[in-house]
Parts: sequence; structure tokens; C-alpha cells
Amino acid sequence: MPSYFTRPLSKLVGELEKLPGVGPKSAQRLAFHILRLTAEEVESLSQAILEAKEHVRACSICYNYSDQDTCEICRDARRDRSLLCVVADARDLVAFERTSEYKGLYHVLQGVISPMDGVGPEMLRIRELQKRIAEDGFQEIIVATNPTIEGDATAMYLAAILKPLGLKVSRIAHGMPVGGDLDYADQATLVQSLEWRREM
Amino acid sequence: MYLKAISIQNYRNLEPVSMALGQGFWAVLGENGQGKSNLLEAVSVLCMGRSRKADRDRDLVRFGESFMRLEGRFSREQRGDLESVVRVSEEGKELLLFGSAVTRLAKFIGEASCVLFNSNDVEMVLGEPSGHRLFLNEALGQVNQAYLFDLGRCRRALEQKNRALKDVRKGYAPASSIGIWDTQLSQHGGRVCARRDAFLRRLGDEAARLYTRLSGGAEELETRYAPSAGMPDDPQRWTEQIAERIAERKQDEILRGIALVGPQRDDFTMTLDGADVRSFASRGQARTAALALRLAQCRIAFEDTGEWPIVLLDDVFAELDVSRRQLVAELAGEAQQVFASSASESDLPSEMQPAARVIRVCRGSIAIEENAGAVQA
Repeated sequence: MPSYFTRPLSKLVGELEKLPGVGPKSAQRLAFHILRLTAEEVESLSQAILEAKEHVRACSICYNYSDQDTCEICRDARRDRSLLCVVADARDLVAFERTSEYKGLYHVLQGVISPMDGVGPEMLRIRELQKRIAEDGFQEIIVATNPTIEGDATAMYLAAILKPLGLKVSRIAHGMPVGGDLDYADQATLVQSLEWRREM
Repeated sequence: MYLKAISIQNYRNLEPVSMALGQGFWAVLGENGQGKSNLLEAVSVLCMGRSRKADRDRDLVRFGESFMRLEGRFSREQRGDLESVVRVSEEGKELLLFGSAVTRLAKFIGEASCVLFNSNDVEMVLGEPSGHRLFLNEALGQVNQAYLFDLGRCRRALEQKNRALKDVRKGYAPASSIGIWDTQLSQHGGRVCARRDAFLRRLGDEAARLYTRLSGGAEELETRYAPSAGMPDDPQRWTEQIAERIAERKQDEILRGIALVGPQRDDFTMTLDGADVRSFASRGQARTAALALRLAQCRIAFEDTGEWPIVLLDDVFAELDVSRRQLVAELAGEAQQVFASSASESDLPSEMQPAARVIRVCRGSIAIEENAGAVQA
């Protein structure tokens, strides 16, 4: 850390910089912002962090957020234990849960691979995923990362390490939205839906 | 396609103006430095969502003002009328179609289309590959939204790959971490290259035909795609082609910490009777080649979208002889609407003059001359 920060400030910047997606510049900006807050605001922020840390934890199996050691989904005996859906973020899990259609289990990677954000595969819950797969006898792994460059690259990384294990690895479909009107779809979506078409 | 009305607020040096326009020829007249080019550029910004010239959107805002706003109503034969707005303020740029915000430039470009001809086109023809790519992205992106989408994905993959390469070079990550980005770059890059290839073949044929007409059959212009990955034997195999070239240069890429193969390094070459235009063409030949390229761009936009883009001729005639002026006026005249700027009315081709209405630009203020020979709107 450059010497032109006073020690407490450089410590704060250093701590913030450890957060995923926060580079040196953002860490500085956040640190300066925090210094401008009132003492009460800073107190409330640090309390919120401590409380969240105390009461919310990652499920020891799937890394979804939970207030117990294992989350409700992992504990639920009615779940289909042959199916595993891999998502980048706990928010994506919530999105799938809202459909109440998917009955399998999840694995939350806690991010996607992104060199620009300093996130390599070793920072995601991939080793844990490999361990689960080796122990739990899934039949199919559904890779449900977003169809962005980073989501696709992460999916590709997962496919490369999971396929040799001899189980079915699938990727969620992308293309036309359900109930969508062809006339209103943008060209990129239409081209994608042609590319990913399937035989009837 | 034509612009029915335009409203300009705080754009570069221009005074606020709202005016109704119509089909046909518009002569934009005024001394040098009064704002003629800025008016034509404003029309192009309404179509492309950005300026070819300005590096930053902020530069489009009139000095001392906090925002600029352009609004246009376009008449389109194929897709019905269009209302678009481009607004740049301290918060950034806003693009609106029919009053709703469009978050991606790729979805804005191509709704209204124009082709801007100006004297920088000669530099483009003679200049760096980056200028050629810019031309290509603009010309192709205007008729193919999916191209812009692929180009965007390609750029993102490239940024990630370059970062991954730097991490590997510094020893932060293993060399194997680059592979997924190579794959992304060659997949999206493959689609970009395939489209560029197909487009340049058509554009090249059209430009060759136009060059022959413009030059009176003096030489033969050939335009050829020069992809950094080389041409694949099979046009279906662009992705594989890029992936193979990347694999060959892997060590070099890691050593230098930057991607050396991909659409970001593409170029196209132009030759006259086999001699490279960049090295051997006279200024006059380069100018004719630039005109041929721009006219070819218009023609292809017409073929692909079913309507002529608005043609913006920024001070193009002064540098041409009389016969070429007339030919350009004739070729561009296929468009529904043409704006031609000039410091001197006499530089405009004689066949344009009687039909043209005149927009007079003086120290940034813009006025349509009422007494000029009017055409029906």
C-alpha cells in the first residue's frame, strides 16, 4: 500500500480491496466515502456487517445462504437428489425456486470466473462441487450460469472438469423468451434462438 | 428514409433550432467554420447514437452548457415512422426511441440510418487498420444488429483474455486459465469474421463497380478482407481458424501479455490494378476509392433494409471535378434525402441546384431559406 495513506486508512482500503469485484480504485473510493459518513452511519454499517456475519452463513453443502449449518433445500427430503443445478449466485437460486418447478438440489459457485475482477476458478466453490459430485451420486449436472461471456466461460470450465467424470452435464437453454413475440425480439436474440434450435 | 423534422439543443456550436424537413436535396451553405459540418454530424449522431469524430460524448455539448439534446422524426418506408432522441449530460448519454430509453447502443443503431461522407474518408482509406475496422463496424453494424451484439461479446471476451494473459505472465495464474477465453474469443470472433467476410465481398464488388464509373474505367479497385487469423479454406470454419491461429501463437501471447489474433486485429486492403492503395495511390485515386466505398455502403444498406439511408455529403464536392460531381449527385440522388454542405453554392452539381432547398448556417445559427426553389415535402 502506498505510503501517502495514513495507516488506518490504508488498512481500510486494504480490507475493502479483498472484497470480490473491488479493485484498488474502488476500494479507495469506498474508503473515502466511509470517512465522509457520520459516526452513527459507520456504526450502523459495521453492526450490520457483524450481525449478518453472525447470523447468516453459507450452507455447508450447497453454499446457499442459510441461518443454520445446512439450508432448508439441502435438508428437504422431498428433493430429487439425482439432479444438481449449478448457479453463480444465491440470487439465481432464488429465481429458480420461485418457479417451484425445479425439484433437484443446487450448488452456488459464489461468482463466475472473471480475470478483470480478479476472480479465478480457485476462488469459486468448484473444489467443493467436485467433492459433492464424487460423494453424492448425481445423475445430471445442470449448469445454469448466465449466458454472458463470463457465465459461458465458467460453464465451459465446469464442463471440462465434470464431463470426464462420466455424468450428464447440461447447459440451460437460451433464445426466445417464453410468450415472446418474434416481431419484437431483437436480432441478436433471434440469431441465438436459431443457433440453439432443436429438433422436434 | 428521410428526416421529417429535427430539433437541436446545445449541440457543439449550433444555436437551438427546430425545423421541419422533407425529401429531396438540401444544400447546407455557409462560410467555413460556421457549423455546417456540425449540422450534418448532428443528423449522423441521431442515427448512430454517437459521433465518428468525437472521442467523448461530452465533446458534443456546447461549450459552457450542461447538456445537449437532439431529437429527430424520421419517415421510414419499411418500418413506419420513428422518433429518436440523443441526450448527453453530466450523467452520461441517453438514447430514446419513441420516448423509451434504449440501454444498448446496438439496439439504437440501425433504427434510422445515414451515411456520412466527409474529407476524413480519404485518411480512412489511406490510414491504419483501426480506421478500416471502424468503417466496417459502422457500415455493417448499421444493417446488422446481430453483428454489433457479437462484436460486443467479442470485445468483452478480449478484455478478459488480455487480463488473463497478464495474470499468467506475472505468474498469478496458470497458463491453462487462458483456454476458456480463447474459446469465447474464437466463438464470438468467428461470427464477427464470417459476417465481415460476407459483407466485404458484397461491398467490394459494389465499390469496384462504382469506382469504375467514377474513374471512367481507369483502374480496377479490389477490396479484400485481411483477417488477422487468415482466411479459412471453408467459410463455415471461422471459429476453428481463429482457435488454431491462437493456439500457434500461444507462447508469444503469454510473453507479450496481449492477444495477437482475433477480429480486433483485422484489416481490409484495397488495391488498384493490384497496387496497394495505401502505398501507391495518388490523393485523387484515394478520394475516388473513398467515395466508391461510401456509395457502396449506401447501396448495401438499401439492399439489406429495403430503404436508402439519408445521405450526408460534408464538403465533398469542392474537391471533385464537374463530371464527378454530377455522377456523385446522380448516385447519391437515389436516396430519399440528401444533405450536401458547401462553402460555395457553385460547387454543388448543377443538377442538384434547381431542386435543392437551402439551409443557411451562419455562426451556428441555422435557417431554411424560404425563397429557394421549393420541392414538395
